[in-house]
Amino acid sequence: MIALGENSLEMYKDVSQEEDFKFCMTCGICIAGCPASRADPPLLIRNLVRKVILGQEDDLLNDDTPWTCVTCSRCEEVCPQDVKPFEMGLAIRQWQCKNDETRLPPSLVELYKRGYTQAVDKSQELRAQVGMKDKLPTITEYPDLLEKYQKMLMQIEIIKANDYMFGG
Amino acid sequence: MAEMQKIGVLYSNSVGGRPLNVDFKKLEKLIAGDGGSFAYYGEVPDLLVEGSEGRLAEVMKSRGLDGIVLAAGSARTLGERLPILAPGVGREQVTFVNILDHCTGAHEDAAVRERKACALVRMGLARQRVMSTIEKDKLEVFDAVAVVGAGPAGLSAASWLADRGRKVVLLESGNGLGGMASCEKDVAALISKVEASDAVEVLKEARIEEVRGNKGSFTLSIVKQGGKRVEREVGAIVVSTGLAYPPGNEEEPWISYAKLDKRRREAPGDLPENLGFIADPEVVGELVAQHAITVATGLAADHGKHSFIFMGDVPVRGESGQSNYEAALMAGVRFFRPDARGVKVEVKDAKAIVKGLDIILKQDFAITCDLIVTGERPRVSDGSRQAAEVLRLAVEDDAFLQPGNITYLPTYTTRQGVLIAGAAGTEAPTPLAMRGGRLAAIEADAILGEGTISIGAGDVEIDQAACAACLTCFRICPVGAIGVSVDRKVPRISDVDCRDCGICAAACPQRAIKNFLTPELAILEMGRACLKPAPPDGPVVLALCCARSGYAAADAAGELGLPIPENVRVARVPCAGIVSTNVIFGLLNLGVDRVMVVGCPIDNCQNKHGSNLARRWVETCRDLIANLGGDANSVSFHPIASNMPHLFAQRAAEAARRGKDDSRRPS
Repeated sequence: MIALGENSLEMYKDVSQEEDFKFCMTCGICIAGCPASRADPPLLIRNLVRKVILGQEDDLLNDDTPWTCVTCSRCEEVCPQDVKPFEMGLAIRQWQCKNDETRLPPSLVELYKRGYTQAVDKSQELRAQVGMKDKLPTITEYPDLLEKYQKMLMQIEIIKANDYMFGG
Repeated sequence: MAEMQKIGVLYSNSVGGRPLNVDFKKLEKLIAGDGGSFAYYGEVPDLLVEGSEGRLAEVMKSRGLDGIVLAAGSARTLGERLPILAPGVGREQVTFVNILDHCTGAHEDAAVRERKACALVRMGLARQRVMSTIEKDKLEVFDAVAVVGAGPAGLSAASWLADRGRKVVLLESGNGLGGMASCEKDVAALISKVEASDAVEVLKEARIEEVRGNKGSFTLSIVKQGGKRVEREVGAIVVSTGLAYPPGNEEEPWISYAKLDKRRREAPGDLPENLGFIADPEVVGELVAQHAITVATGLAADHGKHSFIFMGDVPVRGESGQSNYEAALMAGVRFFRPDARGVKVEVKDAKAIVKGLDIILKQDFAITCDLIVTGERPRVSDGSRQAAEVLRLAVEDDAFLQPGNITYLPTYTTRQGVLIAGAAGTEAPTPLAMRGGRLAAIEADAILGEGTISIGAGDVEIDQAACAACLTCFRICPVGAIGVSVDRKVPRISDVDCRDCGICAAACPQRAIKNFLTPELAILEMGRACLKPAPPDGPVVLALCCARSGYAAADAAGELGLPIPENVRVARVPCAGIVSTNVIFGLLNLGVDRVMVVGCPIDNCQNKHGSNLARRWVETCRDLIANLGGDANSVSFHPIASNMPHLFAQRAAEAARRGKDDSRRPS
């Protein structure tokens, strides 16, 4: 339910100093070209911008999708209104971390577990059909390398502090 | 032919950023060498663009020219706007030659391009020479303009005319000026300016009772405040009677636009914080939706209110639509797009909760608003309806309103000297209405001119001495503009209804109808001119194209770069129906090898049966030629709509190819 609270109409100022995103007319071209719009759950950058405009603070704070962005900046190129959706996505990430100190980006967990962030399992069948190796040659296929990589990641402060989340 | 006419050729090396790639300097020598006479030849770019109003008239005056051949872009786009962009220049004084599409677009070879350009300019000169010799009567014109309705359009027309030193009679049915937009800043400035001006006579609570006379010399009977009658003489009438809004639901939290405007004007600070506007264009009409956006933007930007607009589709059509929308977004107006079910409003503790489903986030919303602003569908104002009746203009339920008329400003009427501006003619938000008023004023100013008006080409009349009263014209007129006067049993052409197609003149057996645009003689002169420079091989094909369909198709063919043979020379005629057997045989006699008549599709002719008439005339010619043992294919009729450039290119290629080796002319 979208209901406007006391400060919600001013909330956008916390997220971004730039005001370009106000021009968003919710056409959805940014989603159409976005590779992460096919992720699960999908990254719908237009909806994120609208949530900021309407100041849906709680909703936005618990939203993990901004972290699915692969920073290709395609949305920025195609936006007809110069809304800069890409920068908006990054600004939302910053705003989330600022407002929730315990927040760990879900992609960090994925990164630790698999060695990469984006789920690419969807294409396995297709690859097999055309005679390719069904699994991508990612780091997951090389367990000894992955172990080394995990050890390396464990030295990062934020992961060390929250090691219970990483099976440590 | 009385005295030598001075005709100038003006050219432009690029149109709208597209280069013409024709060596005009070389062209001048070619035309001069061919024995064509003209007074001035020069490059004048950007003549007919907005902002350069009046430049064409200046050039003509400074060079002492009677007529102009404008060698640049399409006659369709430029010609339609001639009265606005070149006030004071008559339609009969300018011939357009579309070098851009017919030469540059259609031909890649520079030599071919220049030969074609030369032929087209010579044809233009030939037409203009005929048009400039048509005798003109000078009539006295009253030096005043009546503006009916003092809304934004009427005010901007009145103030523009006052600036030009014209006398203005401004009529307003109500008590105050400004109409629906009286509280807007720009309009308020206009009101004080008009009220302070000596040139503007403001008549409040006044209405027109009767209009007599024609363009240039109207006499108005006006009923003033208190039932007193006065008469005013004016040269032109600008009708800007606007729209009407029926009152809405007036109980809070519901509020109408009129009431909100009043509260906003008196004490903007007292208005509550959150304002909702329910304005789905499908329900309330596009104009109300536009109005909602403007009002919401003003409240958000100037008074820091929170404005919420609930509408399915945002109206961004037209020139101001998109900019208004963006201004609203910038001011922080929040738009909600409910799904097809729309919104429901619950009233609780004198507050309204608007509920619906947001189609973008796919979530329900419930927005609490202190006031809900609604409007209803605008309807034609009584003033518009009454003006149409008084001016004897045939209109339907919507009076002058032509929703979606975004191409032509101001809206044209069939009665010359009467101009429609603003929301009376086309649903227009304030800035657009003011612009429409200004454009109507420019045109009215041109009608008043220097105090006289020249009646010439385009003002069709019947030579009563030559008329045999056979009433062929009466039967053939597609718009019923010809009536028969009871007492003298002779036909009369009403300039209220005449559309200048010229069909009556072509059909008249006595050749008694004069002064229509592009008469028979002009077509024959164009036929003579199109022969030179001769194409290297093949027959010369003259394509006489209806200005609305065939000529537009030919333009589009050039624009798309479709190959059109060099020997096909395109001439513009007001209607295919004027190409009579006389004209066709005249052209063949002059040495034109083939004549293509290009008209509208038979059942979709602008002049109802103009196209059918053209087809019958062509068939008659073909029969006669076949009976005489000639090549019937040298005359052909092609119904081609304006959106069929490929068909035009195909038919042109066929006409140029057919019988290339057996030229009809004896060598």
